[in-house]
Amino acid sequence: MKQYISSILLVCLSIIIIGAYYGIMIVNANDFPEYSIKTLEGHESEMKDVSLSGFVEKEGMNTSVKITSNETLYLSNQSSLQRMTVYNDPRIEKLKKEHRSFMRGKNNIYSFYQDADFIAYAETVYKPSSLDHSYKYVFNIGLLDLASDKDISFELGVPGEIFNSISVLDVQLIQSKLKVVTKNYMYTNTGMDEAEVHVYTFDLGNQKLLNDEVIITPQQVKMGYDVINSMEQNPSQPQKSIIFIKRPEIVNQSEGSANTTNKAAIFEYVYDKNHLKTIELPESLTDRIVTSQNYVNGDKLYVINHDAKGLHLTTFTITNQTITNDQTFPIKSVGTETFPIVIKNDRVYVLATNDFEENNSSNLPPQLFIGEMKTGKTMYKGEVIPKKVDQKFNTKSLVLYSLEIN
Amino acid sequence: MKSYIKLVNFEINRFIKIYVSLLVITLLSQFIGVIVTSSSFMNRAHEVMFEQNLSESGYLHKFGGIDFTDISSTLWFIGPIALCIVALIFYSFMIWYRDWFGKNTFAYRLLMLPTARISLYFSKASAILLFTFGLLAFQILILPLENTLFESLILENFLKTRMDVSVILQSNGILGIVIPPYFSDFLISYGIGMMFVFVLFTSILFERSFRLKGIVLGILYFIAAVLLFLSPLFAMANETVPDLYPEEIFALFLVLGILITGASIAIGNWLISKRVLV
Amino acid sequence: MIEVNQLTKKFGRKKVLDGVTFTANKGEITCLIGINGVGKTTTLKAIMGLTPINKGSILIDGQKINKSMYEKVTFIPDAITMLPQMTIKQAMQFMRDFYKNWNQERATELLTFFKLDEKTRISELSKGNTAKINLLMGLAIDVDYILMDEPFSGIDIFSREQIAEVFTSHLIEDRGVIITTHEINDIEHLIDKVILLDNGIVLKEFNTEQMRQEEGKSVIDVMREVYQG
Repeated sequence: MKQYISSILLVCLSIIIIGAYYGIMIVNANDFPEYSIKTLEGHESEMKDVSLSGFVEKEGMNTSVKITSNETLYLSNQSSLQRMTVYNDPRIEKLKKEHRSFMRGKNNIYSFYQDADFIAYAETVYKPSSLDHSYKYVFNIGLLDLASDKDISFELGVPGEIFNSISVLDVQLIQSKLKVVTKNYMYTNTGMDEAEVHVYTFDLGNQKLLNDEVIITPQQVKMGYDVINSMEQNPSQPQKSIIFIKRPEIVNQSEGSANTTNKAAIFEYVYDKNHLKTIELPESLTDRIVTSQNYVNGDKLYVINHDAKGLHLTTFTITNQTITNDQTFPIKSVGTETFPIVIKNDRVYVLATNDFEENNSSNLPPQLFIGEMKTGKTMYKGEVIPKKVDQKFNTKSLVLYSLEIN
Repeated sequence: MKSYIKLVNFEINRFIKIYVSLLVITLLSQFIGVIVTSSSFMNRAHEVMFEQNLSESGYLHKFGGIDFTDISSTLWFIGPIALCIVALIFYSFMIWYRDWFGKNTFAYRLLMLPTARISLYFSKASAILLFTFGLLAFQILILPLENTLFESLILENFLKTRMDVSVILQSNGILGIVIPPYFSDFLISYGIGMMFVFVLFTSILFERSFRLKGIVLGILYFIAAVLLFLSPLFAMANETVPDLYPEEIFALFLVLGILITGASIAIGNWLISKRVLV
Repeated sequence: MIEVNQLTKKFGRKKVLDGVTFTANKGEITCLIGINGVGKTTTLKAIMGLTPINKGSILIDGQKINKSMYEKVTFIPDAITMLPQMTIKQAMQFMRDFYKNWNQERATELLTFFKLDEKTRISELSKGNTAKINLLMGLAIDVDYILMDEPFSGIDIFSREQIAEVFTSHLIEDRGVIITTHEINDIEHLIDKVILLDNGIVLKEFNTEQMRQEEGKSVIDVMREVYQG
């Protein structure tokens, strides 16, 4: 037995110490608080489809967390394999499950278009050309016919000059033509961004680029033209148009030049009309829209501001250019931060977050607010708090930054 | 099985003296590192405070405090870990060649043992694995002691943050790789490590079986195994291969890993039972 | 019986063994004699499965070499197979650990006969004593066949005498022995059978007793005839 002493010691100590270490790590990984959404006002059934994402800080490390009405899901509790996919967008994960083969290599939710019959995809990739190995942007286009489950995909070079970077703003399928709206950044010597917005039209059947149109020129971009994003919840839904905002220029006062166009304005680019048209804004919105959080959903433009009374949400219907709804919801504003907001089924869901900044003095837990769009009534109000008090975690340990309604 | 255990034990006893020296070197170097680094920090802090007429908080405001990452990034600390890694890699070769070279050809004895020769192959691989785990365990064991010593040497106010062992391990590049935070990652890392030990052993057996020609065969086998294992990465860079999902890439690596390990053991078994020369 | 049949072994293009065929019986001492070349040692290694062969077959009591054969046949190479840092005791312990048929009694007997102390380290042994311990490690296993490679080469006269004495003792008696040598003097009176090898082929195979009785020739006489005539 004596001759085995070294081996026995080596084996036992290794197993005990490494085992204990990972045992403690697993216990530690599970040693995160369970959170619940505590109802302050309204009925719980309102928030049963809500899920909140963010992270919990512990000893300087962040661990991703997802909180729903009945569970708290931590990333560190999951196997390596689960960790590989969980960072992905859940919307992408859903598409991946349904159309595994088509979804290969397609990761950007903003590059998708989805309707009842088709899923289209368009992204730009920077890659070396097979001819002279110089790097150039190309379009990567894909289309899935849901009825026949057949898909096509092809690659086409981005025409024109060499761009510094290209980002896809919107993808739409209009009368079996694929419209891809991109913001193309040019190389400049000044270090200033110079960009223009293009609409590319593709003939999917013949895999050809039919048209390349600049709808916002570099001059206009410089003047403050920008796109208004669709509601975060559903960036790939069919839209018949894309909306741009022009924010007022910052006029250099010392030059003293009078600027008559220094007012906010809204433009609509209707895909099947191929032109940019000015939308008349009511006087009450022209000032507000400069600093507001804006979203487009179908033909609705939501203008959201925080003011003394709370969250001021105005719905502007683009087709008839009128304000169709105007409500103020009693949500306390902490600063000038923008809250994650989802508007769905006549409800507005607001995640009133604590600030990311360290010097945030407020010590309030994140709040979930649900209001009725039509009436402005508060349907639900709750705060996200740990189920049990734990010294290691305080309200600042939990940072939530996104909100989903399933 | 019984002779496999005896052989593992035999391999461990043969290396134990050098191994214990490695542990002692690690222990001494890291503890000296803790003492030297923290006392020189405190001395310098006092000197600077005296010269510049600073208060404690004034010094801390200007120069900041110290934490264990300042220790674990020194050569005192990293050096012995690197030494142990190099020693184990060297040992992976030595564990075979010492039986052939030297005055006494112990290989005769080993190959004439009344046991399946693959047991030799496995016993040598197991010895390497056990020594590796032993080193990890030793580092995990002495780290909290070093941390306690460090915290006792540094005045409370100068300590930036208290760190526990897991935080120290994760904040240090080399330790974070050697002792990954998740057990599944630990299995993956050391699974890959063992696969390369088997590949290396089989390459060595190629050389031991075919000598000069075997060197070429062994090197080719090693390169082929590495390239095969990394082939999913090449495939991902290739345009014509469809994009793979992360779980598919993982599955591919897993299958390739099992395949390469299996092939290495099978070829190793054939070489050591049928082709090896003394 | 060990049967070597048409054994052929090449090193590169060179054939060191070319169709070597012979048998060695239990209870007999068979001597492989070769003036030069590596064929003798290679033959023993081939029997033990320590070097792959190109052609031919080797059977030990009708079976090919496998792991259980190592408890039936043992090989004593010309250098010791134990680690230099081991003591004789540790070396014996090692053998005892791995061989079921290790005979500790016989090992102790041999140790006493050779007048060696088991606490001595292998590295501290003289050349002659190393050869004795090497012999001990092989002889103390209860095997049917013992293969010895040049047991007398390069050691002093007294050690040679002692080793030779072992051959006539009960330690050998009913076992089969194959021994290689290039100096026949010390053991001529011990051996039963001689195989004369040269350039990888068997030149002559004969029984020493028969040769002496029928032709009146000693081993040396035959060697002279074969190698020089």
